[in-house]
Amino acid sequence: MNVLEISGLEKHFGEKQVLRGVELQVPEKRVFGFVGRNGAGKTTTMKITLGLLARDAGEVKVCGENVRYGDTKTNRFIGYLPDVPEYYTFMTPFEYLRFCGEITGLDKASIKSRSLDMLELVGLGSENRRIKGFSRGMKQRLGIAQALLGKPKLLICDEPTSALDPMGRKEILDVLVAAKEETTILFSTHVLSDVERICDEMALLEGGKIVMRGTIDEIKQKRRKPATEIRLEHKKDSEALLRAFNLLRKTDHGDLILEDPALLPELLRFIADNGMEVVRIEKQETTLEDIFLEAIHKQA
Amino acid sequence: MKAFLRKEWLEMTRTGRLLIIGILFFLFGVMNPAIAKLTPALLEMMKDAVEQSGITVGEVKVDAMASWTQFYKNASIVLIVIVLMLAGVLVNEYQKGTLVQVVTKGLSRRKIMLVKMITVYGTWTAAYLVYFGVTFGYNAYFWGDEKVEHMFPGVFSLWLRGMLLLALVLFFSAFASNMGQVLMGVGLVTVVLFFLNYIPKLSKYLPFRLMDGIELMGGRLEIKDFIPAIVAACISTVLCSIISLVAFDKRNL
Repeated sequence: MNVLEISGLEKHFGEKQVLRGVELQVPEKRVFGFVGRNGAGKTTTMKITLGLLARDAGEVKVCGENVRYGDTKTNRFIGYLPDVPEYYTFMTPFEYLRFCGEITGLDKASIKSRSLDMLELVGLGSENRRIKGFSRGMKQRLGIAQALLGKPKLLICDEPTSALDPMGRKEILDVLVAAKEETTILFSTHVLSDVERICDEMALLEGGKIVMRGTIDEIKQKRRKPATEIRLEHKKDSEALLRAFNLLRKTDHGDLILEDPALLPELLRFIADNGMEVVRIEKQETTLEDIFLEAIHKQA
Repeated sequence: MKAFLRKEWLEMTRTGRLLIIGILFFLFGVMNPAIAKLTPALLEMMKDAVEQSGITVGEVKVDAMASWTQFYKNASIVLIVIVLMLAGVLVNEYQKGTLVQVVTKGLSRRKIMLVKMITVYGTWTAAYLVYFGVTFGYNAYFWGDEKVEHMFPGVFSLWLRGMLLLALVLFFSAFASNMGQVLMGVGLVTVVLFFLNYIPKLSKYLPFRLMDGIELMGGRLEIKDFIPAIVAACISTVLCSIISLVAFDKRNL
């Protein structure tokens, strides 16, 4: 079953059309990467899903129920971690979680046990200070604790790692991986290494549309261009090689790129026959970043 | 809803706002009888200087009425203070983004607005009780044997005046995005009403009448002169409250 289904979603801000028919389905028990550059419309899509913004066209369903703008009942399925979570800073973390539990409608006993569990999970178990003095990373972790408190079917995280240092980022990613056991996670980010690390599937939002989606492996497979990178010791050798194989491409650094793998044996033979000195010959790995840049390039 | 109400209480107490309001309103309350009580002494001190300029200072008789006169004279400052203290009750939460979490946790917007109303109206009522109670207590202590007529209708009217102003604060809070806009809205309405007050036919309906409690005590106005303004203020307060409840449903948080 799909926890989240978005179809034909459109949104304008004044003259500017931000979303142009977004189609997105998020199946259960996944960590789903929602990727796009800053300003691509990720936050807008998420806010519409939470009923915080009105949509111009399209449909959003959470656990099969329609999302309404304003007071939406579908929020009972959702845990939300905003990019910069804001709290009532005069409360302690436990008081804040109890407050969240009460407005969600959990019973007393489970509020207490669940709050303590969640604080333990995010490493704030022994924190009795008021939230006022918390660091950004601590606030972010408390944000995950409050988002998971009500055992949501869908956890929406809006760029949870963007503002953090490497240590804080690792902590958040670890917590999210641990949370995957309980819930489906929609994880928006522009940090691709985070996606590669924890996501099962991803979708790329660009120009107000989903331009690519699938499992991380699928996407990498589909886009794999097994180019070979060659670097020779002497410049004259490189030029000779370029003259001999006009399909070769030269980079700014003086490396040669061979796109067609079929030519490789012949090329290697040529190098050996001419006694050229090799620095390295390497098969290029396609990273998500390449795919990301390529997809964005195509749209533009 | 109880949880959100408890949060409001925690916020009022832990941020010290309740304490500040309490102290201020206590001081305002003390000031009324104190000024009345001190007036003869002040005049005595300045007597020589005043008499040199040719004015004779006779015996000044102070009574509870002098203190009640102060009570109504200070009403404007009391109202301004309470509006300033409570104008941020919603907009501060919009600006920080704290309500987003509350709404996405499933608390209905109606309940949020209701709790804010309870907080605002409740704080004003409590603060006003302090202001009135302190003045009333000292007056009874100093001039207890004097009989004061028609005190409560005037006191109630002034409370209602505060309710109306705070209903306007909530009304503008449902639309505004910062405290400046809320204050500007409330100020603008007050200025418009101030000019309308010059139209004799209208003035008896306008809330300024509600601040004339001293005229009632002095017998220059009767209770029936207050009725149109009281009815108008009640209707406006309820209307503003209802509109803010409905408008808050669809506002951008």
